[in-house]
Amino acid sequence: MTALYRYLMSSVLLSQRYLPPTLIFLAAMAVGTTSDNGPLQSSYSFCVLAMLVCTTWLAVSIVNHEDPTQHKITLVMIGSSLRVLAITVTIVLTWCVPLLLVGIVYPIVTGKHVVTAGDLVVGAAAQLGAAMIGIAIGLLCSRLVIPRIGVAMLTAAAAIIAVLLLRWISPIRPLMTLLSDGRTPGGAAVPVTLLTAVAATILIAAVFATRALADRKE
Amino acid sequence: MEVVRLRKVSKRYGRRKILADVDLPVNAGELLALVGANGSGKSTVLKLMVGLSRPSAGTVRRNARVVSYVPDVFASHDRLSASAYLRHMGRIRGLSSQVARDRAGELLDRLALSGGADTPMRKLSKGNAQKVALAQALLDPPQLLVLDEPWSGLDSTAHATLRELLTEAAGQGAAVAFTEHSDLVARSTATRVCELRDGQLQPAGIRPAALTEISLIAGAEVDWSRQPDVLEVRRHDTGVTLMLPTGRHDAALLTALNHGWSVTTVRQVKPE
Repeated sequence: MTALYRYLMSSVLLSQRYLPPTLIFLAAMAVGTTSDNGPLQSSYSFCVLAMLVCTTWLAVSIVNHEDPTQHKITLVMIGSSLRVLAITVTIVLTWCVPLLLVGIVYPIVTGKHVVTAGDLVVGAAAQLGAAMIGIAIGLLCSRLVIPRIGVAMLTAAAAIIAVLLLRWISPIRPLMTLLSDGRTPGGAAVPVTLLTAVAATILIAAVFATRALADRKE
Repeated sequence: MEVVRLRKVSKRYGRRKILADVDLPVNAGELLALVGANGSGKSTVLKLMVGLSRPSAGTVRRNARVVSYVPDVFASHDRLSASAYLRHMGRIRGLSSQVARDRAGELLDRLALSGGADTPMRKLSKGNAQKVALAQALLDPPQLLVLDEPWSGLDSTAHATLRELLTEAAGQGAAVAFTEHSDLVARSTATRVCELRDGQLQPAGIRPAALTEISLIAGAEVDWSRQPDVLEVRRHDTGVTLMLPTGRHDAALLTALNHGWSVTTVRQVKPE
């Protein structure tokens, strides 16, 4: 498993496919949070939105990076499509770590906020939840499920709009509402943690659904 | 020992029936060739053997820990070099970095990868990419080796090497299954040939094709490995000995005579 992680990570690193979503995330941070002097959690609410979009893109890029013929070789070597998918998701999560750090630190550095440890924890949990929902959407819109890239892009865009507009189909809208309604970090901590746990459950469900849909095609 | 067995396997894609009631065991040490027309279901049988596809009906039983697969087209867009790629593949197989590096070097040398092992995968030609795909399959001696048209894209020098590698793998106890369009190439390599027709298996048995061996004394420079239909080139002190399919050797004889070579013997041989 470690060897597969190292191989996929090296391959993704050299491909530079992670660059566009990463740069878009940095640009979104610069536009949306620079010189903000409101509550820190409101800035984090914007980071949740940027994280959702960029992790969806990142997940699609990384899952689609492996050539289909190489993917078959990898599947035969490992012997389990679920294990290969789990490692791929781990790679995407690894790439989310620097984004998460930027998303936590950038608004503090460039804005004027009162910073507490509670704010940081709540902001990190909320952005992690958004990243997991983004990865879940990305997996279901990857080549493993939707082979045509145009259809996949439209589906991903529709899914992102749906999770932003419809309140109870994912934890994204409740997370953004919680962060922007002026609650104290103590008051937001429990619901944000629960919503992040729901996001983790959705990601796990997306992994199994992607595996089932990809295997069904064969 | 049966390494893989397809029992009463049928496969459908939507309404289209690809395979019907295929019953096919492959034993350790066996070289099985699947021949048939385009769309006859050869690649589907291979995918079923390695678990890339699941049967619509019937069962596939595998009794192999190390399974290797070579797809029909291997076009990697990776920026990794061929040697780095093979090192990663070896590690995934459970080999140490050093063993994987040594084994990769040995295989690439035998397959004569042009451009060197440090060439990025995405810059390899089709034939060279196919050589790397073959090398990844043989890094760790497989118990089940499945190859989809492995000769496709390879130059004729590599044809002989591939035949040697497959025979060696079978000699080490692997069950080897491959597809091939050329009936002749299949028969000159395999210990058993099966034909797929309309999704049904037609056992063709062991019926090796006749080959012709031509011994020549050297004349002007000729790259015999690049001549059409030449299956094998054995070099010796005074010239070469060629192996060709019987009935397809006239062009080689003409080339030899036109380039000042002397023909010492022409004899028909039957592969064992």
